Amino acid sequence: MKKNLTGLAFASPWIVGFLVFTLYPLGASFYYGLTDFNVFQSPKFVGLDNYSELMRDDLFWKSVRNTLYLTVISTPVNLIFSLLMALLLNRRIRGLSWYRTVYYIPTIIPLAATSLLWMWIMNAQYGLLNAMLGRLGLPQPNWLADPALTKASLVLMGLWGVGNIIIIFLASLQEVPRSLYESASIDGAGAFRSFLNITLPTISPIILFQLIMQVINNLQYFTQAYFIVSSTNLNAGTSGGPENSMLMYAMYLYHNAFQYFKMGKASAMAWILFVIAGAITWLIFRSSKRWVSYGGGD
Amino acid sequence: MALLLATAVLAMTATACGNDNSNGKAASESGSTASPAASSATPAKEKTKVKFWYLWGGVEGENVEKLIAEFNASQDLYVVEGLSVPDVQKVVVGISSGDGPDVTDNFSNNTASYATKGMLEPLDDYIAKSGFDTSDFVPAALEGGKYDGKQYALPINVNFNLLFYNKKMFADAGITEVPKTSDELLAAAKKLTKVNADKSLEVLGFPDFPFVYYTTGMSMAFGGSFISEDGKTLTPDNAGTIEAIKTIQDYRNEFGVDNILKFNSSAKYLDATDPFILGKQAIRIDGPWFGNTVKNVLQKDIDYGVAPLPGPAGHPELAGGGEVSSSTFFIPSNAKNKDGAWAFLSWLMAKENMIKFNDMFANLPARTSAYDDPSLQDIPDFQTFAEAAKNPNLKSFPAFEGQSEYNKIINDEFELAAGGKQSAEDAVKHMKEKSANLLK
Repeated sequence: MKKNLTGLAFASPWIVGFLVFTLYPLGASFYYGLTDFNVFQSPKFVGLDNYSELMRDDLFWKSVRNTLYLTVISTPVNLIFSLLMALLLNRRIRGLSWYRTVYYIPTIIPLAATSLLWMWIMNAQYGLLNAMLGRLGLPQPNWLADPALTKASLVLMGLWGVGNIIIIFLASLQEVPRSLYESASIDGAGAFRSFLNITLPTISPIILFQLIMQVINNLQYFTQAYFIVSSTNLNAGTSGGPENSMLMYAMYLYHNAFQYFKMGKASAMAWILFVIAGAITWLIFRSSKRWVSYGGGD
Repeated sequence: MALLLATAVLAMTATACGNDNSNGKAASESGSTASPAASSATPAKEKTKVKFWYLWGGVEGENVEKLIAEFNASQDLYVVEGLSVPDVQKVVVGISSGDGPDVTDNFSNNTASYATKGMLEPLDDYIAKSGFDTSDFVPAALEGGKYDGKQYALPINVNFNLLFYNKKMFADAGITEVPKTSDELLAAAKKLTKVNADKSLEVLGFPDFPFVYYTTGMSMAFGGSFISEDGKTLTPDNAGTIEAIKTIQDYRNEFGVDNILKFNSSAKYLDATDPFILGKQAIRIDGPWFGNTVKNVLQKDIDYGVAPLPGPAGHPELAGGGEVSSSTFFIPSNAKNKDGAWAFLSWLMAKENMIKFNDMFANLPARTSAYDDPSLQDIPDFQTFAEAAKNPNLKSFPAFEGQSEYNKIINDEFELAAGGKQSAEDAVKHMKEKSANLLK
């Protein structure tokens, strides 16, 4: 009993922190999701009204579609690109540490600065990208103003900041036992074969981790879209970019909370996102039994 | 068991914490009613603090500080402490926590939303008690601080847009008259537009940039109103909005939506890439600050003229209209020093200080009696705007709790129509449908 108490006392900073800063806000937000609450007047219980209002809200569905689109495209693109980069950075070449640094640097730059930089690169008339495309005689798309292209532009921008994913892949690649490659090459396996049958299975737990992190990050996509929209639109407060094509889920949640002061609706949105993220993560975990190998065993 | 107990205890402290917060808020609210009484009961003993948060920063913030210093020098009851908080959300959260400012600034289009949430202190009693004169305020601007018959905020300036046009481009295109109707605007804009070999735009002839100044502003200039006379029905399906959409559609069809969007998206408002300032936009809709920014801030030598916005064809009585808004000041309902806040607010809104403020910001004061003041005459285009401010066709966007959602619906559908994705008739129909439940 006394031992237990001592233990609890030592764990109490975490327990208190968890209860006060995680569990309580979590519970409070669930409750607010069932209320009409504008920060100033005390919350009024309305049952599931916020949820049914969201189901009828065109902008809500628009933000869901935008976010899923971004998640479905951006996640695999980021992962494949990062893995390829990590494979390159794992080779013994001259100036390796220089390359590794260069590819990591964009990660350190604040997202706002990154967004501003890319807005200039993607500027339709004065941008670097279109200048290059023009010189090659290629069409010069309207990256950030054509509703059909804005999300693709965000995906492209995102590729610049994958340094963190690369670093983790790189670390996992170096964990792959060299002896496996050696015996494979004795058995006559080529580079591609070794990659498919040795590298991928060995790093598959890391791929699983990165996949889940990417999915969750993309579902919460906010900063870049918000920044681009607010610095190109005088009506920034509630804008979702050209034809709302950059209205991400987290952005619409923010609009509801801090522009329309509909804290109840915003809390309900947060819970829906939580459930969606949970469901997707669960599906990925379930499927992972088939493609993730933890070594040993059979 | 011990664990369960410990969690239960901790959970209770956590909820107690939660309660504590709301108690704190209640306490501060009741405290707020007590403190002004206390301060007025013991005058001259010690100056009471008035917390003033303002949204301006940089040079504009320094200007505000100058005015604060002047007020403080004139006072033996109150001392104003200014704080630049250039983020509306922070101000709102500050007020909601009960630890916000005693007086702060905002915009007329938030008055209704804030008032319905009980965030604003009605000023009518203060106005009556102190004999504050509001008779010379621009009516539409004063209206922007009103909700449900009560005055919740006071305007310091009047914002509305006029038509700026590049005189040289007009002369080169052989246009001698400034367009007064949508047809004339369209005809002039087409003549003024210059296209490159690859169809991209060299000169934008239409006030298509910035787009947000066009949508509701031109709808109202073309005689549209977004709410019925009795204030009970939202009327986005008005003739003015349809005319504004059709006019921009016609222009964009002529030169290609993509080309125009490319042109617009490459430009940044009041920046090195602003097309009017680069001499690449012939007609521009903009506000009283525009001339000052061009001439004094960016020091560009552009020969431009200023004229009223085009009105609806065949209705000269509706000419000179447009959308009015204001920068407003208000006292939060939970302010701790309301008397002090009113002392500062009424000082700032007095004619001579309002003039000082607007001279620094190159804005148009909300009091018409200030328009002859010599110190304001060197603001570019000042008299043109002062004259235009008297036009009764200037209207505010309807004030009600859901007005920012309403505005968003209008802008979204307008954008789709202007982008060629739907007809003007469908656009206003969708606006009407989507806004059906906003006005409760």
